[in-house]
Amino acid sequence: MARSFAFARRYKRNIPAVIGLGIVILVLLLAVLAPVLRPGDPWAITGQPYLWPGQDARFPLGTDVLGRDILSGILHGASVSLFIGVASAVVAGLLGTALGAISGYYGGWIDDVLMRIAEAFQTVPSFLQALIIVALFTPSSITIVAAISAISWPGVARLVRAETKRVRSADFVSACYTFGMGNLRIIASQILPNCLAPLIVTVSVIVASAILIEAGLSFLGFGDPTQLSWGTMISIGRGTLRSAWYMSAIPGLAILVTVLGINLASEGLNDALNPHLRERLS
Amino acid sequence: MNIHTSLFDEQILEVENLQLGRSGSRAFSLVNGVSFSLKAGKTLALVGESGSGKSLTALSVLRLLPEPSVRVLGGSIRFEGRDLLSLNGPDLRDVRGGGIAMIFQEPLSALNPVMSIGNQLREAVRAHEKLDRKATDKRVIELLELVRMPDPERVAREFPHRLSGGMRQRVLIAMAMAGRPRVLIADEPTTALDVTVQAEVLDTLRGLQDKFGLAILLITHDLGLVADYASDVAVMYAGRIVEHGPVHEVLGSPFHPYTRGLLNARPHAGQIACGGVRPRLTEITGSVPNPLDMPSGCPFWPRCPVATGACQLRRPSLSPVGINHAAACFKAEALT
Amino acid sequence: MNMIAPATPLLDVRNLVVPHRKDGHAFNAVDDVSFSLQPGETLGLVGESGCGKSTLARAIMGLYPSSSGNISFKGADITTKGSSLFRPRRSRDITRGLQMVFQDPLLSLNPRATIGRIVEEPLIVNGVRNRAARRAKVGEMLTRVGLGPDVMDRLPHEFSGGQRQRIGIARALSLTPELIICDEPVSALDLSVQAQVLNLLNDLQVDLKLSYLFISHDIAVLRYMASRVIVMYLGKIVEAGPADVLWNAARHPYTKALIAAAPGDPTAGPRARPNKVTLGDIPSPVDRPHGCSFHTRCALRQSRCVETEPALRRVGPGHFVACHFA
Ligand SMILES: Nc1ncnc2c1ncn2[C@@H]1O[C@H](COP(=O)(O)OP(=O)(O)OP(=O)(O)O)[C@@H](O)[C@H]1O
Ligand SMILES: Nc1ncnc2c1ncn2[C@@H]1O[C@H](COP(=O)(O)OP(=O)(O)OP(=O)(O)O)[C@@H](O)[C@H]1O
Ligand code: SF4
Ligand SMILES: [Mg+2]
Ligand SMILES: [Mg+2]
Repeated sequence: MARSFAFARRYKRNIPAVIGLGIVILVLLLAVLAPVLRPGDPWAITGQPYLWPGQDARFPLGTDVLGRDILSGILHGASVSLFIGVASAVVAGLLGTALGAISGYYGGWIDDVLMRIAEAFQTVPSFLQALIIVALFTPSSITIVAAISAISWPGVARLVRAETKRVRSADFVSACYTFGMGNLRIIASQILPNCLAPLIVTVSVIVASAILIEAGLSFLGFGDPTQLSWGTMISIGRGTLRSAWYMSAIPGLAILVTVLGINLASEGLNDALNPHLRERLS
Repeated sequence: MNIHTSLFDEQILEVENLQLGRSGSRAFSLVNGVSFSLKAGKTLALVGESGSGKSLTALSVLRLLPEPSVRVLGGSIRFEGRDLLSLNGPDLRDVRGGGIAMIFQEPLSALNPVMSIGNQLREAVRAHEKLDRKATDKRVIELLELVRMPDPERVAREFPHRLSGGMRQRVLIAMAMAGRPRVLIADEPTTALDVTVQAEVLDTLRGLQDKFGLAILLITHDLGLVADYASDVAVMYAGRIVEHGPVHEVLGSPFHPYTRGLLNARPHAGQIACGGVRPRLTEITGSVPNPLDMPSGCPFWPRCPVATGACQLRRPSLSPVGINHAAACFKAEALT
Repeated sequence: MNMIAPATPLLDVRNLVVPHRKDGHAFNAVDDVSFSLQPGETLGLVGESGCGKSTLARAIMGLYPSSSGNISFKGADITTKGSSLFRPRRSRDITRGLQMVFQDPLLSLNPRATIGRIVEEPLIVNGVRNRAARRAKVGEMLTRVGLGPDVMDRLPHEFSGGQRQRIGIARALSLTPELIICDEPVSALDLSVQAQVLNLLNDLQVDLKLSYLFISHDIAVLRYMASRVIVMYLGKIVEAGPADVLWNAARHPYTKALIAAAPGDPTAGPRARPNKVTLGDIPSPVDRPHGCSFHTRCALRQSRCVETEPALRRVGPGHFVACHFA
């Protein structure tokens, strides 16, 4: 109890982080409340095409090339983008944590093999790699999440491996071994809880980068054709960038703000979870 | 409160009523009313447990406190008559290293890992005197010889990580000696070293003292070292000096219950069992108080075996109990 | 080095070699060490930093593999051989009987686990199913070490060094071991607290019939604790014997130097302050000197010392020395 209290106090001191958290909560709320705020299918053609924001009170953010409501798209798209972001981060986080912990704990040839694999994933530029994976399979939410996790896990694995190596040699881990605790249990109950802080931060950064990658994929036409994400909206507006730039700019801004919010919040987490760094200075 | 100052003349460094801590909203005090003086050719030992404020006291003399978290809140520090607390810029740099030098507990972290020992010593020499290249090199070797470094020419070419802990500490002492200081502050100089090496380093320090009339402030928590190397001792507890006097007086007939406790807590000659049942050691119960939560009255009363009601209400001040010997305890007199 | 040999010793170490790597060089941090420990005794192990005391302790606990030799506990072989990735788990009997207390009380406690959890873990792992029984045992152990059961919900950083070391001792005690390996249990503690922990270890020894392998570099502490002493230098035993013999009539020049270098007894009053013996620095264990590994620092050195390594030989009842001239 006292611990979470102190954590909240440290987090609150960091104004940008509080703003970031505010943004994240707002986006989450909008995503959850989308069906209430803007009921109906965001794909539905509900008005006249090419309405600029503010031109028609029914469409505060205007309409797109076919007359679909942009506000509805933004609200419903939020959940698509967030889902992709969170799902990719969770999958990459779990995979990276498991492999990184095994690699760092056991060392030796297991470590060599796993790290070679991670390296192989990291040699090709990540966006290109995601593009290839999605293109090889049919673009769908599942393949997109799979592709983004595939390019993101090595980073997590490296981090967890380094942390595991550090914590593993600590005396309290040795102590657990001396009273007979098994290896997997040591990893789960002793090592991972002590790597949690940097892990949470890294994973939250993956959420942001996954949203960006998904937008990029959709922009290039490799998004899930059945889901209206912010990326899809940008690509819809792409053809009319000169005459009706707002169609791409509004979802673009949504992405920018969300990613910024997540990054600020995760940086705040980082500082608040590492009190020792800060307390020394203050 | 200066019982001792009147009796000796050559006071090189005088610290009076030093107060360290933080003021303002989250105010607290870490060192309180500490006074002592250093004389040429003598060693004053500052002993006390972890957190008693020994290092902070030492750092404040060189104006090296970790400000703003800890700063000087009051008192004065005089070096050869000059007020150190009001010095600035070049004057301060003059005193640091020139008049007063310091060596630290962990020699490795005080050395630059990517610079050879010779170059680091050269820099130290250049900081204090203008010499040509050859004279500088000569002085470097001279300094290494001064600290009885075996094979100084070779050592000058080495890098810190290639030296053992004892050699590193010698290098640091050599660096400290580069400015021909009159006062040397040694903050636990041998805590990180092995016993056999520790004795050699301290013997080296004592040799330098005899040769140059250095005044040494030796910070330690080992009373055995105090007995072997110091002429005077100040025992610190919770940021205050609780007993102060010549070594043989303080260790031979301690007045403060804390000093007695420390002396008894250590296994000593009478307690060696060699197989049989071991006699119990006399322990000091409890642990050092948190500086944010100091007991009222005498800071030692919660752990003191002879505390009375008065101890909880008022704080005893350091008062004479013998020649040059003072203790801060209400019961000091009665304990003789 | 067979000392007086009654029934089976509690712990028996034979010709143990434990390798380490440092900067890419392999070396034996513990080299051909043999000794045994009888039930009820406190065997002291002294030596300077890097001589392999902790490595020996950890090898006994199965934390480091040995490259040759063997370790047996109550007659059962417990040697961890080779460097298999998956450290084999020891049988519960061994785990319960043999426990360790670490040097740094803070590093040896999981910073994110409550005290109750830390002391309870050995019980969980060793098959005590009943939660209430476990909690009761934890409370009992915490009371034993002078902390009381109400500290269970607190975290390690809320305690002082001495209290943390008590928690470490409570954890080691929770399985009711017969032998506790104490690796410098008081070195990190303040003077006033050292006495508390030493007294505690003593009381526990009497009440629970414990045996200790007590590692320290502090001669005064070891003089007080140990009934028999082993002196190590650069991975090897250079002298071993009953405490009174060793402290009063040490034969090896290193043991003598170690005793002479120790700071004096502060209560002994004023004294002349002699300059201590000059030994020079300890060589690195990675390139150990040929012949007698102490010869670089030894005053008695002859050419023979540089050429041949002295064997550990018996010089008195239970007293062994590895020196050509001692
Ligand atoms: N930068 C800092 N900010 C706040 N408090 C500090 C700082 N440095 C030291 N302190 C506190 O000041 C007190 C005295 O510290 P100091 O380092 O002087 O103790 P010490 O007597 O040298 O102990 P040790 O034997 O452990 O070196 C301690 O309670 C410590 O926590
Ligand atoms: N895990 C390790 N990997 C590689 N080398 C090690 C490891 N642990 C210790 N060593 C090295 O082995 C030698 C013996 O170390 P050990 O810790 O056993 O010494 P020690 O006698 O316990 O010293 P101390 O008094 O400093 O605790 C040292 O040179 C050390 O650097
Ligand atoms: S064998 Fe030789 S070098 Fe070694 S300790 Fe004995 S006398 Fe000294
Ligand atoms: Mg200090
Ligand atoms: Mg050790």
